[in-house]
Amino acid sequence: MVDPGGLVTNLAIGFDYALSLRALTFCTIGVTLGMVVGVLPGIGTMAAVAMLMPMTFWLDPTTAIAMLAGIYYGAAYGGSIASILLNLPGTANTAVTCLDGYPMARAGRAGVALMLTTVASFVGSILGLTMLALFAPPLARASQSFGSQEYFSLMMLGLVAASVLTANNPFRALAMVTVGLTLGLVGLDITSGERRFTFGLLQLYDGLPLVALALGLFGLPEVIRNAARSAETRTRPPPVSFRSMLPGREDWARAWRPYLRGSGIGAVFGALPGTGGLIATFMAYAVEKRIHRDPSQFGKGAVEGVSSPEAANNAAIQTAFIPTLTLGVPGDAVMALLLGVLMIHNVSPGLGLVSGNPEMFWGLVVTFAIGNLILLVLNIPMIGLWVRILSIPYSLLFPCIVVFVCIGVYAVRYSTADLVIVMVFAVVGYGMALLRFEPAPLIMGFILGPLMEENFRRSMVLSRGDPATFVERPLSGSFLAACLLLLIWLVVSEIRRRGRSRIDSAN
Amino acid sequence: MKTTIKLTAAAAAAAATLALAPTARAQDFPQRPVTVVVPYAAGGATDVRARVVAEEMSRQLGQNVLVDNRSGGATLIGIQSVLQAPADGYTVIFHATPIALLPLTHADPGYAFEDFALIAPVGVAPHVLAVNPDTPGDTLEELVEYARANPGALNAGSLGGGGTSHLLTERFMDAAGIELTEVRYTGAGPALAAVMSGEIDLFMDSLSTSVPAAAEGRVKLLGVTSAERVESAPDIPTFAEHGFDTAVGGTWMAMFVRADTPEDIRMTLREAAVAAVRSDAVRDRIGVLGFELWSGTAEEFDAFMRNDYDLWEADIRRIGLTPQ
Repeated sequence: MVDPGGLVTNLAIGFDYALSLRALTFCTIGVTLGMVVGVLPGIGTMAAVAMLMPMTFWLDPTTAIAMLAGIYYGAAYGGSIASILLNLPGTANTAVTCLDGYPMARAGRAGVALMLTTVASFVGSILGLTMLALFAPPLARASQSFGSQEYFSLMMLGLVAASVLTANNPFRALAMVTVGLTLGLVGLDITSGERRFTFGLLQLYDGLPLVALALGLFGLPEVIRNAARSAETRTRPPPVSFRSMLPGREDWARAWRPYLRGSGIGAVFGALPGTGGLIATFMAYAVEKRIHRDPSQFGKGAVEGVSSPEAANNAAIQTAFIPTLTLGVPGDAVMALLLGVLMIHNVSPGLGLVSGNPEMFWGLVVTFAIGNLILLVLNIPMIGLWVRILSIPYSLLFPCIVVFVCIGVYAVRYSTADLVIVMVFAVVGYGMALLRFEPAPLIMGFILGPLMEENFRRSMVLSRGDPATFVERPLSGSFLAACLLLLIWLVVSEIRRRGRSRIDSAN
Repeated sequence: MKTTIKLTAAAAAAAATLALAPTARAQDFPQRPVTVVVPYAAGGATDVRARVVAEEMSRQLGQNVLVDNRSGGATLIGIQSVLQAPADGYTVIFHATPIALLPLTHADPGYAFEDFALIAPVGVAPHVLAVNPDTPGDTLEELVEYARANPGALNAGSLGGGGTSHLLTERFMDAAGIELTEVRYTGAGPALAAVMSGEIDLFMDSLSTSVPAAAEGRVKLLGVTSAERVESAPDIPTFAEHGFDTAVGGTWMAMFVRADTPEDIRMTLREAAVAAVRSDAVRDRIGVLGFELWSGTAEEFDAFMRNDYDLWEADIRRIGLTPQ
């Protein structure tokens, strides 16, 4: 499976490219830009990569991908900063980091959270990269045996698991997933070409825009909520000294196992096309919460709750290159853009790229590793700088955030309709926050809904209308069985809980 | 209130027209940057080619030629934005076959193909029938024989009603008298991957992705939809060679302006665009496997394109595709 001698030769080829001045320069530019767009909520990775893509036309393909990929994984480092300090996900994939990162910041442990997530990102990236380097061909072959049925069932499992295991109230989460799935119906039906819920608006043909929806639900309600509070009651964040940024021995002891578990989960989900960092972070969070001695700590600043998802996200970003580079199947929109760059440069993904073009594949692997090292250096000495963002008066910060959100939404496709959509969903999101409905399951349902529908309907065509196809295929059947078990477990534990509380109140 | 805005807008428009009036002559064109609307997101195959051509065109015109990505709405947003801009030649659209197909497949496209006039052709790309290696039949005849014996058994990938890949598959089915089951995918990449994994049996793909996959033995390429064999992949037989004469066609790419743009301005743009497409810089950077830059004149392409339009229209009528 892995040939050690060949690996050394390949790594040597990779280093030969990655240590050139050109590669180092563009890698540094990429990761620094990534940090910036990651930190600024409202400017998404996708918009940043798309905006910078024309600039890479005059570069060679390896350098172009190395720089744009740097934006992607750099943004994943930066994204957690906004999640922790402002409870605003800098990128969609760092939404889970808000759950425990923000409570940590509120408890005066922002520095510790930032240090832990930076190290988590680094560990996740390096382990993900190792997977990419060692297992690209075998893993590509494994995900190749996935059919539409498997994708449908796996996504179903992802949704059910995320709702049942991560949410404070699983029933509310499942309701939000359903709302998300419903919103995902908007747009052209891929099977018949019919327009669904588009109300004659061309802007809705491709569905509701994800960036506008995510920023509307996650970004703006927090601004509204904070603005609604009076200036007197708002507590200013305490100044963070360098000493307080250093995690204690107990923090490291609690973090290292989640690092490894998160990396593993991320590596697997990243390698499967169609899933990726987002599901990986939810799964990683769910696993930590499940196996923890005291799950009630989660949501209140648990070290495990920030460590594992961050590692998972970064590992997933690295292994997401496996299907993109080996099959030409991008796992998400950013990967699709990178695939587009490869096509510009006449590079066809496939075994031809991985084994036929070692300078490119191994050059990228080594450049990614160096890029992560640069990010580590960028983040740890500069960590204090990011914390200081919190002491900017809200009256200055929030208008800036609203402007950044609007620029980010508009930059995706220069559509004013998207700005209206972001405002509508900001109101919806604020209402959800008041009613304590979480937006994360909604977003997941919204993203996975169209993919699930597509795979479901394709499976039904392939089976000539027989739904048994989903359970007859062993892998797909096991995913669905896991869903069923989770739901049974949810109902049983709910009945028990109610039974207990009745006894308690009777006593 | 509304009337005031309208009046103000009308006054502004009138003033602008007066100001621009002397410049709307060919010898003065272009006086300011020309915008090339690409109805797809940045980074796609169309966008990439548009940017390369635009860069060379600005050299020819001595003015900046800017690419403006207006994606979404099945490319209708970009198309309609060009028709809403003044017919002064400063707004050009860079599009592919869908600009001709959408009025045929769409119930409410908001335009007719005649609303556009050709500036210049860019190129044409045939499709190739990529088949899973384990699907019975190593030649087109054997595959057709199997499909005739087992109607509906073979699964054909499709990218949705009224696209070139879909219509070319229909042409093949019609020419061979076979029935395939249509399975929808959202992109050519996933459809080709499904052929390789065996989820579906065949897909009308573009050569740039299928030829490398075939080199690795992951698909077999049984036929190409061009009239003659493709120079860069001469081993693939044409459908016509096997007697399926009507299974010919492909995707083309070209630049258009509003049909009511003054002819001298159109000719200035055409001259620049044709020179750009023929330049070495464009040829070196745009040449994707199977995509051939148009070597004939723009007038020849215009005739080819109009004939093509009639053929697509006949296909759509034959298969009974109702506009959505």
